[in-house]
Amino acid sequence: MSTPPSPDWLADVAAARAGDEAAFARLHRGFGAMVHGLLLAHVDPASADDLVQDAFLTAWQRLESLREDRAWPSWLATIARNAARDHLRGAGKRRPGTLPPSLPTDEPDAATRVEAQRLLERIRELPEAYVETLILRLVEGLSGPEIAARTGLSPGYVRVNLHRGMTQLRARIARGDEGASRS
Amino acid sequence: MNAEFDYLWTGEAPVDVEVAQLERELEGLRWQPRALELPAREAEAASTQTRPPLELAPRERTREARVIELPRRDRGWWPALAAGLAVAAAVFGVILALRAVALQPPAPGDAAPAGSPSPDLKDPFAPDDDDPARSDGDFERPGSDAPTLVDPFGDEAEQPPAPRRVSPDLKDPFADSPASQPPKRRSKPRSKPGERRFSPDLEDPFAPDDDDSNGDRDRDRADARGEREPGELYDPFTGEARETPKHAPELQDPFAR
Repeated sequence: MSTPPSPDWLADVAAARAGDEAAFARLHRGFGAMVHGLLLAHVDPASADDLVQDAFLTAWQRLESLREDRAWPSWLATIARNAARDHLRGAGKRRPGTLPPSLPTDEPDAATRVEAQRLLERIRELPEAYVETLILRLVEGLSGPEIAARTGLSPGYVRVNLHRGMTQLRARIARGDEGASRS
Repeated sequence: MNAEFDYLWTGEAPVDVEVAQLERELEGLRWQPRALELPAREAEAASTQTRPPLELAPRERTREARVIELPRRDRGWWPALAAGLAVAAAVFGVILALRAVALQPPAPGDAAPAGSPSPDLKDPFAPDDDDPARSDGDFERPGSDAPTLVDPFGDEAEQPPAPRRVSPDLKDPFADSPASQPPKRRSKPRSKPGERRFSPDLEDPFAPDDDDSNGDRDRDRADARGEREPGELYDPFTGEARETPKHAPELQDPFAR
Protein backbone atom coordinates (compact mmCIF):
# COMPACT_ATOMS: atom_id res chain seq x y z
CA MET A 1 0.00 0.00 0.00
CA SER A 2 1.20 3.48 -0.75
CA THR A 3 1.78 6.09 1.85
CA PRO A 4 -1.57 7.46 2.96
CA PRO A 5 -1.92 11.21 3.10
CA SER A 6 -1.30 12.77 6.39
CA PRO A 7 -4.45 13.20 8.43
CA ASP A 8 -3.99 16.90 8.34
CA TRP A 9 -3.46 17.21 4.55
CA LEU A 10 -5.66 20.26 4.70
CA ALA A 11 -3.03 22.01 6.73
CA ASP A 12 -0.38 20.86 4.30
CA VAL A 13 -2.36 22.37 1.48
CA ALA A 14 -2.69 25.65 3.31
CA ALA A 15 1.02 25.65 4.07
CA ALA A 16 1.90 24.83 0.51
CA ARG A 17 -0.19 27.71 -0.66
CA ALA A 18 1.90 29.86 1.59
CA GLY A 19 5.05 28.52 -0.03
CA ASP A 20 5.98 25.64 2.27
CA GLU A 21 7.85 23.19 0.07
CA ALA A 22 8.07 20.51 2.71
CA ALA A 23 4.30 20.50 3.03
CA PHE A 24 4.01 20.25 -0.70
CA ALA A 25 6.43 17.31 -0.70
CA ARG A 26 4.17 15.54 1.75
CA LEU A 27 1.27 16.17 -0.53
CA HIS A 28 3.33 14.77 -3.39
CA ARG A 29 3.98 11.51 -1.57
CA GLY A 30 0.40 11.17 -0.38
CA PHE A 31 -1.36 11.90 -3.66
CA GLY A 32 1.22 10.71 -6.17
CA ALA A 33 -0.34 7.24 -6.48
CA MET A 34 -3.73 8.76 -7.23
CA VAL A 35 -2.27 10.98 -9.95
CA HIS A 36 -0.29 8.06 -11.41
CA GLY A 37 -3.36 5.81 -11.51
CA LEU A 38 -5.42 8.47 -13.29
CA LEU A 39 -2.65 8.91 -15.85
CA LEU A 40 -2.33 5.14 -16.38
CA ALA A 41 -5.96 5.08 -17.50
CA HIS A 42 -4.98 7.11 -20.58
CA VAL A 43 -1.24 6.92 -21.29
CA ASP A 44 1.47 4.31 -21.23
CA PRO A 45 3.34 3.57 -17.95
CA ALA A 46 6.58 5.27 -18.97
CA SER A 47 4.84 8.49 -19.88
CA ALA A 48 2.70 8.29 -16.77
CA ASP A 49 5.80 8.43 -14.53
CA ASP A 50 6.94 11.65 -16.20
CA LEU A 51 3.50 13.15 -16.26
CA VAL A 52 3.14 12.69 -12.51
CA GLN A 53 6.05 15.09 -12.00
CA ASP A 54 4.62 17.54 -14.50
CA ALA A 55 1.21 17.48 -12.82
CA PHE A 56 2.67 18.28 -9.41
CA LEU A 57 4.82 21.02 -10.86
CA THR A 58 1.73 22.51 -12.46
CA ALA A 59 -0.13 22.27 -9.17
CA TRP A 60 2.75 24.00 -7.37
CA GLN A 61 2.74 26.84 -9.87
CA ARG A 62 -1.03 27.24 -9.91
CA LEU A 63 -1.61 26.66 -6.23
CA GLU A 64 -2.71 30.24 -5.85
CA SER A 65 -5.74 29.56 -8.05
CA LEU A 66 -7.05 26.94 -5.62
CA ARG A 67 -10.04 28.58 -3.96
CA GLU A 68 -10.66 26.13 -1.13
CA ASP A 69 -8.21 23.75 0.58
CA ARG A 70 -10.86 21.02 0.65
CA ALA A 71 -10.98 21.05 -3.15
CA TRP A 72 -7.32 19.96 -3.36
CA PRO A 73 -8.00 16.25 -4.30
CA SER A 74 -10.48 16.95 -7.08
CA TRP A 75 -8.45 19.93 -8.24
CA LEU A 76 -5.30 17.79 -8.48
CA ALA A 77 -7.25 15.02 -10.30
CA THR A 78 -8.36 17.54 -12.87
CA ILE A 79 -4.77 18.65 -13.44
CA ALA A 80 -3.78 14.99 -13.95
CA ARG A 81 -6.51 14.34 -16.49
CA ASN A 82 -5.63 17.51 -18.37
CA ALA A 83 -2.00 16.47 -18.47
CA ALA A 84 -2.99 13.11 -19.94
CA ARG A 85 -5.13 14.77 -22.56
CA ASP A 86 -2.41 17.22 -23.52
CA HIS A 87 0.06 14.36 -23.76
CA LEU A 88 -2.21 12.44 -26.10
CA ARG A 89 -2.63 15.50 -28.29
CA GLY A 90 1.09 15.94 -28.58
CA ALA A 91 1.91 12.21 -28.87
CA GLY A 92 4.32 12.90 -31.70
CA LYS A 93 6.49 15.09 -29.53
CA ARG A 94 8.78 13.10 -27.29
CA ARG A 95 10.79 14.70 -24.59
CA PRO A 96 14.45 13.68 -24.28
CA GLY A 97 15.08 10.92 -21.83
CA THR A 98 11.68 9.30 -22.22
CA LEU A 99 11.74 5.79 -23.63
CA PRO A 100 8.99 5.02 -26.17
CA PRO A 101 6.64 2.35 -24.87
CA SER A 102 7.21 0.08 -27.87
CA LEU A 103 10.91 -0.54 -27.12
CA PRO A 104 11.61 -3.41 -24.74
CA THR A 105 13.56 -2.76 -21.57
CA ASP A 106 16.48 -4.67 -20.07
CA GLU A 107 14.77 -5.24 -16.77
CA PRO A 108 14.56 -8.91 -15.65
CA ASP A 109 10.85 -8.69 -15.11
CA ALA A 110 10.23 -7.43 -18.60
CA ALA A 111 7.95 -10.34 -19.38
CA THR A 112 5.96 -9.58 -16.30
CA ARG A 113 5.75 -5.98 -17.29
CA VAL A 114 4.53 -6.95 -20.76
CA GLU A 115 1.89 -9.22 -19.29
CA ALA A 116 0.86 -6.46 -16.92
CA GLN A 117 0.56 -4.00 -19.77
CA ARG A 118 -1.61 -6.46 -21.66
CA LEU A 119 -3.92 -6.74 -18.66
CA LEU A 120 -3.90 -2.95 -18.38
CA GLU A 121 -5.12 -2.72 -21.96
CA ARG A 122 -8.05 -4.96 -21.08
CA ILE A 123 -8.96 -2.70 -18.19
CA ARG A 124 -8.77 0.33 -20.47
CA GLU A 125 -11.37 -1.24 -22.73
CA LEU A 126 -13.95 -0.87 -19.96
CA PRO A 127 -16.01 2.31 -19.54
CA GLU A 128 -14.03 5.27 -18.32
CA ALA A 129 -15.73 5.44 -14.89
CA TYR A 130 -14.71 1.84 -14.17
CA VAL A 131 -11.18 2.20 -15.57
CA GLU A 132 -9.91 4.81 -13.13
CA THR A 133 -11.31 3.14 -10.01
CA LEU A 134 -10.08 -0.33 -11.03
CA ILE A 135 -6.58 0.94 -11.81
CA LEU A 136 -6.41 2.81 -8.52
CA ARG A 137 -7.52 -0.37 -6.75
CA LEU A 138 -5.67 -3.12 -8.62
CA VAL A 139 -2.54 -1.24 -9.81
CA GLU A 140 -1.91 1.37 -7.15
CA GLY A 141 -3.26 -0.83 -4.34
CA LEU A 142 -5.58 1.82 -2.88
CA SER A 143 -8.65 0.70 -0.98
CA GLY A 144 -12.10 1.95 -1.75
CA PRO A 145 -12.24 4.52 1.05
CA GLU A 146 -8.78 5.77 0.10
CA ILE A 147 -9.84 6.16 -3.51
CA ALA A 148 -12.86 8.21 -2.42
CA ALA A 149 -10.74 10.39 -0.13
CA ARG A 150 -7.95 11.06 -2.63
CA THR A 151 -10.14 11.66 -5.67
CA GLY A 152 -12.88 13.63 -3.94
CA LEU A 153 -15.55 11.15 -5.11
CA SER A 154 -18.28 9.76 -2.91
CA PRO A 155 -17.62 6.32 -1.34
CA GLY A 156 -20.86 4.92 -2.75
CA TYR A 157 -19.91 5.98 -6.25
CA VAL A 158 -16.48 4.41 -5.95
CA ARG A 159 -17.84 1.14 -4.55
CA VAL A 160 -20.47 0.72 -7.27
CA ASN A 161 -17.91 1.38 -9.99
CA LEU A 162 -15.46 -1.05 -8.44
CA HIS A 163 -17.92 -3.94 -8.43
CA ARG A 164 -19.42 -3.25 -11.83
CA GLY A 165 -15.99 -2.79 -13.35
CA MET A 166 -14.75 -5.99 -11.78
CA THR A 167 -17.71 -7.95 -13.12
CA GLN A 168 -17.06 -6.77 -16.65
CA LEU A 169 -13.31 -7.38 -16.33
CA ARG A 170 -13.91 -10.98 -15.25
CA ALA A 171 -16.17 -11.54 -18.21
CA ARG A 172 -13.58 -10.14 -20.63
CA ILE A 173 -10.81 -12.24 -19.10
CA ALA A 174 -12.99 -15.34 -19.36
CA ARG A 175 -13.77 -14.63 -23.01
CA GLY A 176 -10.09 -14.03 -23.66
CA ASP A 177 -9.09 -17.31 -22.08
CA GLU A 178 -11.71 -19.18 -24.08
CA GLY A 179 -10.47 -17.62 -27.26
CA ALA A 180 -6.90 -18.48 -26.44
CA SER A 181 -7.77 -22.08 -25.59
CA ARG A 182 -9.68 -22.57 -28.87
CA SER A 183 -6.82 -21.24 -30.93
CA MET B 1 -23.06 -6.69 0.17
CA ASN B 2 -21.32 -6.63 3.51
CA ALA B 3 -18.43 -4.22 3.46
CA GLU B 4 -16.48 -6.18 6.03
CA PHE B 5 -16.12 -9.16 3.72
CA ASP B 6 -15.71 -7.13 0.59
CA TYR B 7 -12.05 -7.56 -0.25
CA LEU B 8 -12.43 -5.50 -3.39
CA TRP B 9 -13.67 -2.57 -1.31
CA THR B 10 -11.56 -2.82 1.82
CA GLY B 11 -8.46 -4.68 0.61
CA GLU B 12 -8.47 -6.73 3.79
CA ALA B 13 -9.21 -10.34 4.66
CA PRO B 14 -10.94 -12.50 3.62
CA VAL B 15 -9.03 -12.29 0.40
CA ASP B 16 -10.69 -12.65 -2.94
CA VAL B 17 -8.42 -14.97 -4.89
CA GLU B 18 -9.23 -13.53 -8.27
CA VAL B 19 -8.76 -9.96 -7.16
CA ALA B 20 -5.54 -10.82 -5.40
CA GLN B 21 -4.28 -12.51 -8.57
CA LEU B 22 -4.94 -9.37 -10.56
CA GLU B 23 -3.17 -7.27 -7.97
CA ARG B 24 -0.04 -9.39 -8.23
CA GLU B 25 -0.03 -9.20 -12.02
CA LEU B 26 -0.43 -5.42 -12.08
CA GLU B 27 1.90 -4.65 -9.21
CA GLY B 28 4.81 -3.99 -11.58
CA LEU B 29 3.02 -0.90 -12.94
CA ARG B 30 2.61 0.70 -9.54
CA TRP B 31 3.93 4.21 -9.00
CA GLN B 32 7.36 4.58 -7.48
CA PRO B 33 7.75 7.94 -5.70
CA ARG B 34 10.54 10.08 -6.92
CA ALA B 35 11.94 13.25 -5.53
CA LEU B 36 10.08 16.27 -6.77
CA GLU B 37 12.26 19.14 -7.81
CA LEU B 38 10.36 22.33 -7.41
CA PRO B 39 11.48 25.39 -9.32
CA ALA B 40 12.96 28.19 -7.40
CA ARG B 41 10.38 30.54 -6.22
CA GLU B 42 12.55 33.35 -4.95
CA ALA B 43 10.06 36.10 -5.57
CA GLU B 44 7.24 34.11 -4.07
CA ALA B 45 9.37 33.11 -1.10
CA ALA B 46 10.10 36.70 -0.37
CA SER B 47 6.47 37.64 -0.61
CA THR B 48 5.29 34.73 1.50
CA GLN B 49 7.56 35.75 4.39
CA THR B 50 5.82 39.07 4.81
CA ARG B 51 2.24 37.95 4.32
CA PRO B 52 0.24 35.83 6.75
CA PRO B 53 -0.03 32.15 5.79
CA LEU B 54 -3.81 31.80 5.69
CA GLU B 55 -4.73 35.12 4.14
CA LEU B 56 -5.23 35.50 0.48
CA ALA B 57 -2.91 38.38 -0.21
CA PRO B 58 -2.73 40.01 -3.61
CA ARG B 59 -0.43 38.06 -5.84
CA GLU B 60 2.65 39.54 -7.38
CA ARG B 61 2.22 37.46 -10.48
CA THR B 62 -1.22 38.72 -11.13
CA ARG B 63 -1.52 41.11 -13.92
CA GLU B 64 -2.00 44.71 -13.07
CA ALA B 65 -5.54 45.67 -13.43
CA ARG B 66 -6.04 48.01 -16.24
CA VAL B 67 -9.06 49.60 -17.63
CA ILE B 68 -9.86 48.20 -20.97
CA GLU B 69 -11.96 50.47 -23.04
CA LEU B 70 -14.22 48.46 -25.19
CA PRO B 71 -14.34 49.79 -28.69
CA ARG B 72 -17.53 51.40 -29.59
CA ARG B 73 -19.66 49.27 -31.71
CA ASP B 74 -20.10 50.54 -35.14
CA ARG B 75 -23.79 51.15 -35.17
CA GLY B 76 -23.71 53.39 -38.19
CA TRP B 77 -25.37 50.88 -40.41
CA TRP B 78 -28.37 50.33 -38.13
CA PRO B 79 -29.99 53.75 -38.59
CA ALA B 80 -29.29 53.67 -42.30
CA LEU B 81 -30.89 50.27 -42.60
CA ALA B 82 -33.94 51.39 -40.64
CA ALA B 83 -34.33 54.50 -42.77
CA GLY B 84 -34.02 52.49 -45.94
CA LEU B 85 -36.66 50.05 -44.77
CA ALA B 86 -39.02 52.88 -43.87
CA VAL B 87 -38.59 54.51 -47.26
CA ALA B 88 -39.14 51.21 -49.02
CA ALA B 89 -42.29 50.60 -47.00
CA ALA B 90 -43.62 54.06 -47.83
CA VAL B 91 -42.97 53.60 -51.53
CA PHE B 92 -44.60 50.22 -51.47
CA GLY B 93 -47.66 51.66 -49.75
CA VAL B 94 -47.98 54.42 -52.33
CA ILE B 95 -47.76 51.85 -55.10
CA LEU B 96 -50.49 49.77 -53.49
CA ALA B 97 -52.73 52.82 -53.08
CA LEU B 98 -52.33 53.86 -56.69
CA ARG B 99 -53.00 50.36 -57.83
CA ALA B 100 -56.17 50.21 -55.79
CA VAL B 101 -57.36 53.45 -57.30
CA ALA B 102 -56.61 52.18 -60.79
CA LEU B 103 -58.51 48.98 -60.25
CA GLN B 104 -61.64 50.69 -58.97
CA PRO B 105 -64.62 50.11 -61.21
CA PRO B 106 -65.90 53.13 -63.07
CA ALA B 107 -68.89 55.08 -61.81
CA PRO B 108 -72.30 53.96 -63.06
CA GLY B 109 -72.87 57.10 -65.06
CA ASP B 110 -69.53 57.09 -66.58
CA ALA B 111 -69.19 54.72 -69.47
CA ALA B 112 -65.88 56.04 -70.53
CA PRO B 113 -62.94 53.80 -69.76
CA ALA B 114 -60.75 54.44 -66.73
CA GLY B 115 -58.28 57.13 -67.23
CA SER B 116 -59.05 60.49 -68.60
CA PRO B 117 -58.71 60.53 -72.32
CA SER B 118 -56.51 62.90 -73.99
CA PRO B 119 -58.22 66.25 -74.41
CA ASP B 120 -57.11 66.24 -78.03
CA LEU B 121 -59.07 63.13 -78.83
CA LYS B 122 -62.80 63.43 -79.19
CA ASP B 123 -65.16 60.70 -78.54
CA PRO B 124 -66.64 59.96 -81.94
CA PHE B 125 -69.77 58.61 -80.36
CA ALA B 126 -70.33 61.48 -78.00
CA PRO B 127 -72.68 64.24 -78.94
CA ASP B 128 -70.86 67.37 -79.84
CA ASP B 129 -72.98 70.41 -79.18
CA ASP B 130 -70.24 72.77 -80.16
CA ASP B 131 -70.08 71.62 -83.73
CA PRO B 132 -72.21 73.97 -85.86
CA ALA B 133 -72.03 71.67 -88.89
CA ARG B 134 -74.02 69.05 -87.23
CA SER B 135 -77.75 69.20 -87.32
CA ASP B 136 -80.37 67.25 -85.61
CA GLY B 137 -81.54 65.58 -88.80
CA ASP B 138 -78.26 64.34 -90.02
CA PHE B 139 -77.53 61.87 -87.36
CA GLU B 140 -79.55 59.57 -85.39
CA ARG B 141 -78.43 60.30 -82.02
CA PRO B 142 -79.33 58.49 -78.99
CA GLY B 143 -80.76 60.30 -76.11
CA SER B 144 -78.72 63.18 -74.94
CA ASP B 145 -78.30 61.63 -71.64
CA ALA B 146 -78.04 58.12 -72.95
CA PRO B 147 -74.67 56.49 -72.82
CA THR B 148 -72.87 56.00 -76.03
CA LEU B 149 -71.67 52.52 -75.26
CA VAL B 150 -74.15 49.74 -75.41
CA ASP B 151 -74.07 46.99 -72.88
CA PRO B 152 -74.35 43.80 -74.90
CA PHE B 153 -75.62 41.86 -71.92
CA GLY B 154 -78.20 44.36 -70.85
CA ASP B 155 -81.92 44.20 -71.33
CA GLU B 156 -82.86 44.98 -74.79
CA ALA B 157 -85.70 47.15 -73.71
CA GLU B 158 -83.36 49.35 -71.71
CA GLN B 159 -80.79 49.61 -74.37
CA PRO B 160 -80.89 52.78 -76.27
CA PRO B 161 -80.91 52.34 -79.94
CA ALA B 162 -77.52 52.22 -81.37
CA PRO B 163 -76.55 55.35 -83.14
CA ARG B 164 -76.49 54.98 -86.82
CA ARG B 165 -74.16 57.26 -88.57
CA VAL B 166 -74.94 58.06 -92.09
CA SER B 167 -73.56 60.56 -94.38
CA PRO B 168 -75.33 63.91 -94.18
CA ASP B 169 -75.79 63.87 -97.93
CA LEU B 170 -77.72 60.68 -98.00
CA LYS B 171 -81.07 60.15 -96.60
CA ASP B 172 -81.53 57.18 -94.49
CA PRO B 173 -83.46 54.76 -96.66
CA PHE B 174 -84.47 52.74 -93.69
CA ALA B 175 -85.73 55.56 -91.63
CA ASP B 176 -89.38 54.83 -92.29
CA SER B 177 -89.18 51.07 -92.62
CA PRO B 178 -90.79 49.03 -89.98
CA ALA B 179 -87.50 47.23 -89.39
CA SER B 180 -85.99 50.41 -88.14
CA GLN B 181 -88.74 50.68 -85.65
CA PRO B 182 -88.17 49.04 -82.37
CA PRO B 183 -89.88 45.70 -82.29
CA LYS B 184 -93.17 45.62 -80.61
CA ARG B 185 -93.00 43.70 -77.52
CA ARG B 186 -95.92 41.57 -76.93
CA SER B 187 -96.90 40.87 -73.48
CA LYS B 188 -96.47 37.32 -72.63
CA PRO B 189 -99.80 35.61 -72.70
CA ARG B 190 -100.79 33.91 -69.58
CA SER B 191 -101.15 30.33 -70.36
CA LYS B 192 -102.24 27.47 -68.29
CA PRO B 193 -99.83 24.70 -67.52
CA GLY B 194 -99.66 22.26 -70.32
CA GLU B 195 -100.64 24.73 -72.91
CA ARG B 196 -98.35 25.69 -75.65
CA ARG B 197 -96.51 28.90 -75.26
CA PHE B 198 -95.46 30.74 -78.29
CA SER B 199 -92.31 32.78 -78.55
CA PRO B 200 -93.12 36.43 -78.27
CA ASP B 201 -91.14 37.11 -81.39
CA LEU B 202 -93.16 34.78 -83.50
CA GLU B 203 -96.48 35.89 -84.61
CA ASP B 204 -99.20 33.46 -84.18
CA PRO B 205 -100.22 32.59 -87.69
CA PHE B 206 -103.59 31.69 -86.45
CA ALA B 207 -103.98 34.80 -84.43
CA PRO B 208 -106.18 37.44 -85.86
CA ASP B 209 -104.83 40.75 -87.03
CA ASP B 210 -105.46 43.91 -85.23
CA ASP B 211 -108.18 44.74 -87.69
CA ASP B 212 -109.73 41.33 -87.50
CA SER B 213 -113.12 40.80 -86.04
CA ASN B 214 -113.55 39.62 -82.59
CA GLY B 215 -114.63 36.18 -83.68
CA ASP B 216 -111.28 34.60 -83.54
CA ARG B 217 -110.55 36.35 -80.47
CA ASP B 218 -113.57 34.89 -78.93
CA ARG B 219 -112.68 31.53 -80.23
CA ASP B 220 -109.29 31.78 -78.72
CA ARG B 221 -110.80 32.78 -75.52
CA ALA B 222 -113.18 29.91 -75.70
CA ASP B 223 -110.36 27.61 -76.44
CA ALA B 224 -108.46 29.02 -73.57
CA ARG B 225 -111.43 28.45 -71.36
CA GLY B 226 -111.73 24.87 -72.64
CA GLU B 227 -115.08 25.29 -74.26
CA ARG B 228 -114.06 23.81 -77.56
CA GLU B 229 -114.58 20.17 -77.73
CA PRO B 230 -111.42 18.17 -78.14
CA GLY B 231 -111.10 16.72 -81.57
CA GLU B 232 -113.15 19.36 -83.17
CA LEU B 233 -111.61 20.59 -86.32
CA TYR B 234 -112.05 23.89 -87.91
CA ASP B 235 -111.01 25.53 -91.01
CA PRO B 236 -108.07 27.77 -90.29
CA PHE B 237 -108.83 30.02 -93.17
CA THR B 238 -112.45 30.54 -92.52
CA GLY B 239 -112.52 29.80 -88.87
CA GLU B 240 -115.56 27.66 -89.23
CA ALA B 241 -115.82 24.28 -87.69
CA ARG B 242 -115.57 21.39 -89.95
CA GLU B 243 -117.91 18.62 -89.73
CA THR B 244 -115.51 15.83 -89.77
CA PRO B 245 -115.84 12.54 -88.05
CA LYS B 246 -113.70 12.18 -85.10
CA HIS B 247 -112.90 8.65 -85.95
CA ALA B 248 -113.38 6.14 -88.66
CA PRO B 249 -116.99 5.20 -89.16
CA GLU B 250 -116.22 1.50 -89.04
CA LEU B 251 -114.78 1.91 -85.56
CA GLN B 252 -117.11 2.02 -82.76
CA ASP B 253 -116.38 3.60 -79.51
CA PRO B 254 -115.93 0.68 -77.13
CA PHE B 255 -116.79 2.81 -74.20
CA ALA B 256 -119.93 4.11 -75.69
CA ARG B 257 -123.04 2.83 -74.06
